[in-house]
Amino acid sequence: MSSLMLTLRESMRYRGRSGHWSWLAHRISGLAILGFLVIHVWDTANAFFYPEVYQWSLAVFKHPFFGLGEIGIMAAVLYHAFNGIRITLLDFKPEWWKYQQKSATIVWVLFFVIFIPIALLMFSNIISHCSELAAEGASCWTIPRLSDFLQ
Amino acid sequence: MQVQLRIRRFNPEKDEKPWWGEYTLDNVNPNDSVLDLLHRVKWEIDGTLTLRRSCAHGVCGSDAMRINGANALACKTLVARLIKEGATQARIQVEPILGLPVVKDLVVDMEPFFEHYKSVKPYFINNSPPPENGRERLQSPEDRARYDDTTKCILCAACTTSCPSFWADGRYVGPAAIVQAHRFIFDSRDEGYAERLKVVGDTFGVWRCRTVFNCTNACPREIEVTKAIAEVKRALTTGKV
Repeated sequence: MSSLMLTLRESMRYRGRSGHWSWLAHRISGLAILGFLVIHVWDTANAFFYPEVYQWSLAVFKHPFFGLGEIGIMAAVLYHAFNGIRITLLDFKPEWWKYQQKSATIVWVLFFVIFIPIALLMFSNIISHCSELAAEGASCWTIPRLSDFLQ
Repeated sequence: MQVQLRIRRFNPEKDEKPWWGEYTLDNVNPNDSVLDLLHRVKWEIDGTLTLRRSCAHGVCGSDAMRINGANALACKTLVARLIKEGATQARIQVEPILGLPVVKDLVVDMEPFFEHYKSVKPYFINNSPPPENGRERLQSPEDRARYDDTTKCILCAACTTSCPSFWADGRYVGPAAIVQAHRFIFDSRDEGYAERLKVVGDTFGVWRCRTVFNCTNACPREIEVTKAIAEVKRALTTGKV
């Protein structure tokens, strides 16, 4: 078994404590942020190289699927930031190791307290965008066609 | 009480893939250790079950295993710690430790682990002549206390094989080797710290540590492993020991 498969499978199976789950969440959120950055660099580069494609991508990003993705990215950025600070502090202050479990809990609490209102706000924006389009007789679920944006 | 013991089995001469062996043990005392249960399986049910153990009292470090998903010494893990109080039935799962090749059943090849151990030069290095009076090299109690915790390691590999960074890349020296390096780096009488910091400060040294704390939680000797690793990281970044 390759070490990649072993790591992926056993990271889920290993019964570590709070630090293990924090590490897993940190990795997943880091990958999500990386995925977002790849899309972000691609669409921003289009603003210079292919302005029509850029306009089309902006329209696509208003789709509820991307709206939910943005909420996910917000979650990833918040958790990654808070947990990153926790790990950095524990690395610079080894004597604080005894607060490892407490600090992991604090990070989760801080994350949810800040994320939940932001997620509600972002979700209400998706709803209002869809309602506006519905009032005009259109659907927010329709994926814009690239051909409509090309001259 | 009754225990359903689930053991990860693999015989390279017979099996293509590892499989789960299920064994029912009656009249288990909650104060029995997991090693006691494995002995009962080997002695009473299936003599082919293969495992390592020696002292059976948490000193030799031979029987590190993955018990109910997390690393521990089989001899130091009592059934009572794995069940709810007053339970009459329990399921216990035992697997070999991760990241080292399985030789048979619960026995893994420890050689890669010991290679990492040797790489940090786990011995006293001091090229200056010994004291003229022929006595020992003296050290203050404060200086002795700096590395006291890391002298307790029994090289069971429970920490190294609980580390996701080690699972991902076996070239990482791992927590146990860093603990050994720490024991000498912070010894005021030792002069080999530059050589050791070179090894642990390399690509596959301490920077592979992601501060997961699995090693600290797995250590049967309760060594503050992640703390020791962080101290080595700090020594590397500040240049001060």
